[in-house]
Amino acid sequence: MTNSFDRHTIHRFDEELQALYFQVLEMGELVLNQLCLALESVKNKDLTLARRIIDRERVVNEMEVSADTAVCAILAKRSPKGSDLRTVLSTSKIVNNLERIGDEAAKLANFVNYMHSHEDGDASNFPLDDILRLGGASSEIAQLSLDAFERLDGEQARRVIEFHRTLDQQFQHGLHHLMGFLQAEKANVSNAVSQVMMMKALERIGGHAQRIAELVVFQLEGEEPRHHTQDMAQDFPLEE
Amino acid sequence: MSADFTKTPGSEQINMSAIDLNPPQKSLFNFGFAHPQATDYAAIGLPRMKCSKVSVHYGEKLAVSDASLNIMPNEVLALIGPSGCGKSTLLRCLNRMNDTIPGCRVSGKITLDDEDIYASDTEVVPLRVRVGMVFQKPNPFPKNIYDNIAMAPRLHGLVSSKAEMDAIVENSLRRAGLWHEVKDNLKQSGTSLSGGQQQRLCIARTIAVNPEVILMDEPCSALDPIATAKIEQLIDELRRQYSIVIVTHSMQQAARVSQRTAFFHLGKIIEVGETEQIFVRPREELTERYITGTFG
Repeated sequence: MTNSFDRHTIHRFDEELQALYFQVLEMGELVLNQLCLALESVKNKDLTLARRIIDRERVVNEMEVSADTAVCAILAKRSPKGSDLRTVLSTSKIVNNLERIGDEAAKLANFVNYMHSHEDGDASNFPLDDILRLGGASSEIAQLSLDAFERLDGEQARRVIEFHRTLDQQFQHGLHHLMGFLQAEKANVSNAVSQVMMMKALERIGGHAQRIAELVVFQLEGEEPRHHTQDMAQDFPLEE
Repeated sequence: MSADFTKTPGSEQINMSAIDLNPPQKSLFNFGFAHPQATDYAAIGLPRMKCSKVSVHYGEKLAVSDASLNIMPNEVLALIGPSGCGKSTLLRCLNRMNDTIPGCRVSGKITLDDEDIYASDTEVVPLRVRVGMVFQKPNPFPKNIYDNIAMAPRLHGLVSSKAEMDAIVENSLRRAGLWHEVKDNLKQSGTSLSGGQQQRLCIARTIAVNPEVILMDEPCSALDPIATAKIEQLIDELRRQYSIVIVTHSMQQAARVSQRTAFFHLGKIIEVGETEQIFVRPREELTERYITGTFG
């Protein structure tokens, strides 16, 4: 199945669906960019970049409001059914998940801002390997889920859902490494908590990306894949 | 299409304890056809009406082809499809309204409580009491409100006293949601009511003889949204007691009022399913194209 916007007898409806689709793609692109820049700011301890990301979070929120408005208008005017209904519903939820990915990216930038704008800490000593590895995986999964949405690719969406398990494992490994580091070094507690929160933010980004992939499957097939909540790392974050 | 649309989920699970094998006979509504209360079809989940491979010809023209469909107790079944797809034709077969159309031939089998309604010994008038009909355009008799309701019970000898008739009139008007609007003007002409009130009067007239199935052929197409909402609310309440089959061009209405929906195209039933399934994830491509407005 591919997106085609010249199917309906009422052409205006096609135009509205197309506009919504491109709005989501644009929002996805912005959110991915926010995430990549946030990781860049973590890696380079770039405070200026971190503040830019925090400022631009407002644009992501505005895009969510705009997409929500479009969804409401379509529901009110067109009363969509069948695949149209599924498209509008899943798009609405995807927008919501994108906004949350944007929130998490801004959260990363906030921690960069917090950790490196205080002189009291040892933030520079913390190992970044795990965070960057987790960041690479979460941005990849987010990219893949948006590709699946763009191409309405059910197979890719299912791969993304599976890929999320890997991210969970990376999250747990990262936590264990950090605990080892904290036991060995006399580290600043607030910086340590920030590190944990950053890892958690990246893990959540993976969770939202997984949700986007599930919604693509719902859009295509009308049934949502089973939720893997029992596998989610947040339930047992320190389990080996 | 080889799908069997007569199967209904859960219909095979019969609660034998719920079946009263010797129900009290109610002579009031016994017309010498099958006794309506002989079997509690709702309790055992059996179809109230059953269409098996029904085909209808108007002269040489095939209007309905091999339609198989169950009508369950206490359900609203919506028939949808483009104009000329055969949905109204099939509806009218359910109480033999097509008998009056010259050149109309019906083959296959339609049963009401397991009795063939097209059997040679079936009397049509009692059948139409048991399977009532509400039409697209409200058609009250040119008589007062009371007589509109009282006429059928009187004709069929269902009442023996004025008090009994008064009770039937009040009860029917109450169940049609019209009593409070007309109780002080029962001698007013039925045709002087608004369109929505007239349609509810017609529904009251239909239920006055206590049917088992009510057929509705686009009952709201001539009504404004408020009157439509009142009729839809009424349909929802009537479902507790009757089976209702509604033909509608409004997919929104079908989605709102029905539990199951059948989609017709070119005289064939393309898909029957739970309304939610039909409107969210139809199985057939044709259904998808029709409900999303990408037809033709």
